[in-house]
Amino acid sequence: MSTNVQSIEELRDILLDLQRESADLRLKSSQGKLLIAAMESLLTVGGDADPFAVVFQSLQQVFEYAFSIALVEEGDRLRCIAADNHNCHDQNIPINSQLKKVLNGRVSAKLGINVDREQTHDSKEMIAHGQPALYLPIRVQQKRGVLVLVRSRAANGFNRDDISLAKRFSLVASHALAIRHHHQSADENSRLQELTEKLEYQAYYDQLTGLANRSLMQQRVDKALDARHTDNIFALAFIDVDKFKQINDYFGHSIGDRLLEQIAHRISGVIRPNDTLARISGDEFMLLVEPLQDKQGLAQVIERVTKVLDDTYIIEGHEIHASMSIGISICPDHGDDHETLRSNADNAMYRAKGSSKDIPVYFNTEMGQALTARMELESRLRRAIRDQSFICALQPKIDLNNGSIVGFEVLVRWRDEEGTIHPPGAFLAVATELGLLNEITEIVCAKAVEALFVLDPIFGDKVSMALNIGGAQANDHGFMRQLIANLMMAGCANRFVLELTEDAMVAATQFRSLVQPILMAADIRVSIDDFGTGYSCLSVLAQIEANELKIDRSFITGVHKNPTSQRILFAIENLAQTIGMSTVAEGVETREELEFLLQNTSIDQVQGFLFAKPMTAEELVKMSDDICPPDLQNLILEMRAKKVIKLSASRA
Amino acid sequence: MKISCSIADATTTTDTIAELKKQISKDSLHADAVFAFYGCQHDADHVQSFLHSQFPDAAIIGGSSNGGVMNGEKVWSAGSIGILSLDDADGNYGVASAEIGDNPADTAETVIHEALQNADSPGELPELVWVYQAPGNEEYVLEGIRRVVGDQCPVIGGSAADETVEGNWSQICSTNCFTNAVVIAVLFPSKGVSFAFQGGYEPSGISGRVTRIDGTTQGRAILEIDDEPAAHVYNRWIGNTISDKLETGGNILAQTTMTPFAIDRGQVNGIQQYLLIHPDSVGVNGELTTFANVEEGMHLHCMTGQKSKLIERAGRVTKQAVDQLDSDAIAGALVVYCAGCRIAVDERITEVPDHIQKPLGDAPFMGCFTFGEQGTVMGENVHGNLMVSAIVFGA
Repeated sequence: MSTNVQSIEELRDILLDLQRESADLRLKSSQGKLLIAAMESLLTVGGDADPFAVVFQSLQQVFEYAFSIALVEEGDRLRCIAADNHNCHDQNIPINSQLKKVLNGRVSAKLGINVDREQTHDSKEMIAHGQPALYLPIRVQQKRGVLVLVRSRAANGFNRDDISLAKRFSLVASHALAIRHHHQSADENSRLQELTEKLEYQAYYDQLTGLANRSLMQQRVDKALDARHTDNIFALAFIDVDKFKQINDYFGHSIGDRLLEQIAHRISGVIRPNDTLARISGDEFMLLVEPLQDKQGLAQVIERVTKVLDDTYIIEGHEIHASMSIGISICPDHGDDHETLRSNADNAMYRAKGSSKDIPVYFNTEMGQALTARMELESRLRRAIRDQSFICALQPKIDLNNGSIVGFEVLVRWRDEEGTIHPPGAFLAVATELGLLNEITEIVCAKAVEALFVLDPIFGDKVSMALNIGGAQANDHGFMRQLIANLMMAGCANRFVLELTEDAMVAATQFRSLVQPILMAADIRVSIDDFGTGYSCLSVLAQIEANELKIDRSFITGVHKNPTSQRILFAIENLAQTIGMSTVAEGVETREELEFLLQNTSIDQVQGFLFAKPMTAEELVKMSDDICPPDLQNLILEMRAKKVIKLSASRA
Repeated sequence: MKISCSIADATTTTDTIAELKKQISKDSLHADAVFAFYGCQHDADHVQSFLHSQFPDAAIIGGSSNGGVMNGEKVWSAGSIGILSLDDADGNYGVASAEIGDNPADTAETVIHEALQNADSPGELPELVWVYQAPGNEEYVLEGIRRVVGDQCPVIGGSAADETVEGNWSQICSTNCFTNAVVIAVLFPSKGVSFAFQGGYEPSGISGRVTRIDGTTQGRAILEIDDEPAAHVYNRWIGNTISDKLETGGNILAQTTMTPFAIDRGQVNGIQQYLLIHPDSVGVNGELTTFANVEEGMHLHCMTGQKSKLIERAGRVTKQAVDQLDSDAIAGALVVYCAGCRIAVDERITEVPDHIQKPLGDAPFMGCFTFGEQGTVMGENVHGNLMVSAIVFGA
């Protein structure tokens, strides 16, 4: 896991993966324990005791079955050497094709059906047709054999999981039956002991680094949880090698493996003897820091780990700079079970990955809440779309030639179930990521069209509506075509302006080639929004058929007293004039700013709180006389008249 | 276990087969099982007889695929023919087929028994059942397969596709070629197999209940949702995208690929699982036909998709299958990618092979494009639409 979480979909995948891994781990761990218990029992069972019974005691804890039979190969037949039903002992059955495959090492399941077409039958005395059965290959000394677990007709058949499990038990069963008929020699005993140790090692240790594996880590965490006293704490640290895949791809897997070994070695060298370091998957390590008296002790361990991982790695002559992301959760503050602690450490690790590198991040409740809140926001947004709970807030645009209202910028607001109004910053980023932006834009566009019916009687039927469009939307040919069609069907396409930021313009190559011709045909104008803050690529500007350029508020705020803003403003104004675009100044909030613009520039339109904040169409109608009150109206008319005279004089 | 993928494309079936033959000879391929897919423009009889002559002892299964096939190299043209051959002397493979007939469930039951027999494994539970069939009766075919293997092993597969949903699809097996059949292969690979089956859509938050279906269409025509004509309700849900078809009726396959229906399949540890259903046409009376069966009372969710997610999903499904493989090495993979998703991602389909190849490393894969997908959801073998599945073989 070395990429950032991108979406709800990925979060779901990660949760599912974690749950699957966790279930798999629990299953394998319990199976491993049974396997080891069975092997240990075999080594300690008395010479006269029946080891077959030991193995079946283990098997019965895992498989449900009615009875079991052990068969061994004798010539072209199989002879029963052990069974729950003593009547089966010493009976023979012919070797059919299925049994042949099992003798060759395959675990096989017989379906619980009566198959008329079956050519080969098991012994009718032992396994009736229609009884589900599981066949495991075994070895009895030098002979091949088959262990059969049989279910009743009414029971469900064995499935693929049973088969997978049976493969693991097959070896144990072989050894049990090997000593069923022959006295254990010292050599054999030692070989079994070795096998047990090997199995135990494989079950609990990572083959590459020799560190604990995920199963052992889980056991240690469970043990730490059981042993924890009220005052004690312990911590789990999730350590992920950043961009390990790229390292592997670039230097090769062999060097990647050496890097993991070195990382394991370095961390092992600085942790305390009782701490446990595990490699839990490809490039992920987990550190259990336990016991701990206080968080200070934890910080010291983490600091040593961070420091030791910071140095460059030299492997086979290559200098490798590998950074790590470390996330930490503390018990009991961040959870009191393994899954929660692990998931929270994982979550914190993602935060570490997303922020400054090499700085460990401790989990906090906000992170957990953020995840829940995000899921909740998603479903609320989807409901909001269903219920069309978005409203248009309209901000007037004033013509600086005469003080009249010439249009409105459409800004979206979300009214939630409780009636709270949310600004775009609270939901647009998530909506974009969830792919909901198009639907929201369509709702807003439809509402803007409706608003014209309210506004026109007061402001006239020439006022325009400026709608903000994102870069991805502009590039989405299908969406734009639909949006344009909707406006044309509403009969007001020519009253709309689409505002795109300059960055969106640059990125939206399809917009320029596919969408703009349709926009022009529909008489929909295009405005470059927030100009001056983005890419400002002149060559791209030259390719865009935009009608209007909106100067970002950052150049307008305090422009009357900021010479740098003034110079930039003049440059932008000149540029717009050169390429034939009208200009709009955003964020005009004071009379001084307005006076400066009137006196020193030829900017065509302004918008800002000096005139009106964004409000609904109904509110605008009520406030229509206050948007550009007589004093501002007079100021505009007088200063623009003086400016015209001044310009004429200077030209003369 | 060794897997090879060979693909050729040319203008005519004869030329394509000649090219494919060169590749097979060059690689000296031996096969115990062969998965074969091709664009529907090809003469399926010719393809089948060629494959049978090349691999007389192999279990051959396949059929037509929308727009041809793909592998790690690229998405090939509609004129392509591709084979994925499995060389696995220690495994068992069997295939059988039959015309679907009047009782698809009975047919499927008979066919899977024959396939088990042909795999020399009568009455045994396969590792995996692979099914390729003509679209229209998938739920019944699964019912027949379930009578034999229950849900004890995965049943993965696809519904044969053409280019225009006009019934020009075909299915092939070792000995026959059909246009309306079910072909079933039972797989007992020697080195294990894993699979994954998922859709790439999220709920939009809009939903309704099916209140009337057309019983004569085996549940593939929804007459009403929430007591209103289904097409009108659906059109409203998806922002009037199919308004132009409400009066006249017609195919809406392309317009609805990003907004299919889905039904709940329950929850896994609190996470909702969905099965997708793709509406493909509108009737003049406001009914909607679908590529999967719908029942009265079902709660239908309107889903939404994104191109990028559908593209990446193929890689994620493959990775999930790889992660579950109980084997150290991968021999190869077979991927089923819904033709509807292909239409949805449009020209960006060319990005899909890279995503699939990444988790497979150097192992080969072949992908086909289908009009319906079968796979396992929450332990049950089901038929869905707009799904992606991957089966990965161990080496």
